Amino acid sequence: MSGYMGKVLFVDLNSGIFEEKVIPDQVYEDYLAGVGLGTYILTREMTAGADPLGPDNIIGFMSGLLTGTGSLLTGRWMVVCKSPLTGGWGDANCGGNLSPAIKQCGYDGIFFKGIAKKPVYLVIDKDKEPRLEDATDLWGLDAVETENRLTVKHRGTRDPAVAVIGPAGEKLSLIAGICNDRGRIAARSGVGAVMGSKKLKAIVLNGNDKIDCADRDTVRTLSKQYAAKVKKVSLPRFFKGSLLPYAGMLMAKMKRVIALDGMMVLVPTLKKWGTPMSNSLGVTSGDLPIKNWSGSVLDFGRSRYRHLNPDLIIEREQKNYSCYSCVIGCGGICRIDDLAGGEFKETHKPEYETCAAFGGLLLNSDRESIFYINELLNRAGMDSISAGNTVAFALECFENGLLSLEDTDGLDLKWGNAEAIIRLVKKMITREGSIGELLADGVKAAAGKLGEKSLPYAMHAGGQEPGMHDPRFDPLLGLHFSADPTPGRHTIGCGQYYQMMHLWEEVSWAPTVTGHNKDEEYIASDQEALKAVAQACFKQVIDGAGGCLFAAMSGIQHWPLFKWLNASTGWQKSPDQYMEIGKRIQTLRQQFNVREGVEPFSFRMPNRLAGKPPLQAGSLKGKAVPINEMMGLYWKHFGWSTDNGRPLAMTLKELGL
Amino acid sequence: MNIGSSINLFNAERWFPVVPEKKMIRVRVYLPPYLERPQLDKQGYAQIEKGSTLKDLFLMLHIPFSTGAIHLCRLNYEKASLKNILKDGDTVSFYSLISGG
Repeated sequence: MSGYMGKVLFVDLNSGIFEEKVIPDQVYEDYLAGVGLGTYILTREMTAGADPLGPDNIIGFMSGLLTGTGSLLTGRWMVVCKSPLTGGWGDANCGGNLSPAIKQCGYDGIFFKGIAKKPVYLVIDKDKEPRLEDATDLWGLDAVETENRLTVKHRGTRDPAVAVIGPAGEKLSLIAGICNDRGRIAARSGVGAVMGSKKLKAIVLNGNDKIDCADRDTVRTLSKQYAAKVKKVSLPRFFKGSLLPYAGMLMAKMKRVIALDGMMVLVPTLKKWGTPMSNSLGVTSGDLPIKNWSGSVLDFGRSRYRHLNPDLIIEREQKNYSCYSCVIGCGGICRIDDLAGGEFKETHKPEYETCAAFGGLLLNSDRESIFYINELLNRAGMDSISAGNTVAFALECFENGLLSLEDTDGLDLKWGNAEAIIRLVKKMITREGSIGELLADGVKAAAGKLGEKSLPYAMHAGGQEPGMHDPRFDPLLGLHFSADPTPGRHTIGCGQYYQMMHLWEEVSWAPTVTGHNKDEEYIASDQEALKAVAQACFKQVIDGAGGCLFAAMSGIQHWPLFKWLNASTGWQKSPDQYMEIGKRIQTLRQQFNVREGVEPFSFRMPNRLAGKPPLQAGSLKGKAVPINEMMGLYWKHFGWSTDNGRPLAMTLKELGL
Repeated sequence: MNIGSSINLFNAERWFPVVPEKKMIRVRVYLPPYLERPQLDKQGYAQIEKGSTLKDLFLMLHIPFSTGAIHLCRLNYEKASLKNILKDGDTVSFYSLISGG
């Protein structure tokens, strides 16, 4: 047994009983760890039809198989559960320092079932038995304050790793997430609400178990090679943020799709700016959604997007940081003690998703409001993508007379009104007033309450608000939004990621990108479907390993995930065999949805995102995505029914499910 | 007269010189997304004569403004000059900016 720990911990919050379960080696060979292992366990341990906010739902905190082995960019942790947002499979993924801490406690995953009688938190210290402690005095505190207190209380020779929920999770907001490192968040699928429903405030981990590795020398050699390349690639100094919109304009005009070198295209920009590098580039290229997905650069032109220039974002950055085992370091801590009367001293550098969701999506060019909202949401433990989409929905409803000033408690919800947006976010966090209560659970719930007339403005896929990338710019993105068992995700794949990943260099059936017309991406074809299938399978391998999506986007020819997996475990699997594992995990996630009564086609993204009707202006003018046909082909290549997306019996048998 | 001697006097090498086969090397090239790449094979490699420089490669690939483009170029992810001589298996790549992620 190498790479993985071989066991998981179950905590029954009803009874307070702890149970260790040994997991057979074959399970890791079939499912890896991370989301894969989580899917395996939840489908067996959780009763079908469980209420996502009830005692029968199980929530798991997972580490990746490669975490702690010496490989690089393999320090992500994941949460798995039944999602209260979609009613189906739920998972969320996050960076920071929690992942190795899970394994250092001796486990590949920690699962919770039941509901505690009063708020509790889990503590695992080295040389001590796991225990639940009273969290009554922590309940109501924000995520940062909670983490600060627990860190001080349980500090030993070093600080513990802590994951917490904030007020959003405590109040069962369906768009709540789980936070760590004072500003990182596993945000999607409503995982924070599940944790809150169990009255579980936090987990505090301070173990020091050793993580074995079968061939540490090979792992280290591969890591050194990757690190050396990353170290060398830095953007020349003349690359300023002001150039980015022009790059976006060029991108919008590109007619060819070619293989890209992620090591030179993505890594240097992440090193320099982090994800905000797309803030203005995304506006001019068409990637960044504008005005609740209904607008274009004509609505958010240079006079506005220039305020979100990433150079201006990093002006506030006081220090840079990396997640565990990362050599790129796209994170940052920014000073904000001059904002909002000095309410907060600092915040994590707002990610692109937050800048876009509260920037172009709302026609808001007030950069300082974005920093402030970033910290509000981090402390509340609320998903900024979902929150931004929900605010956009409210603005469009207000514009169209579906919400009055009385309904909004006097908030003038005009596009770009930063002050109103901030006050609205605060109400959503605390469920204050009728408007706060209406919007606290995301777009689908709000539209359900507002009625049919609001449906055309409700942008979600199966209940999950979509990430800040436009499918009309990259149709494969729309396919993943609609066809993945966790819908609305921008982190499964898209055309551009595929161009950088170079899966065809190692996976025999992954289509090769040699150069084709961009127009071909807008046609439902087997080629495009296979690309999406390859990315989806690969994403499950990444999540099983604890890998970072940005590492994958640097290119598999640079980031040797398959080689690391073999070296860490002693296995001798081929890339095709790992992709088969990815296919197994993805099919089991889909089967979980079917078991829970979710119809796969119900996750189809809304017509607006599919370009029906198409935009009349901007770089995406006239673009439409044949999403129904694309979903059918995707399902076909997974071995699922092309009619309804349910895994076929033959496929389940082939995969041993 | 010996016919064989006559043939020797003919000096075939003078009339049909043997041109030594050019040694070619394969270099992996990642072009910026805005440029066409007809000279690259399906795996993204360019074939170029052994002993060629980076400038020769730029000319072959019609990369414009080579004196400026070199600043965006990395040879095996190291800074390079147009005079660098290429070796078989080298990687030539360019900084570029794309949206996404």
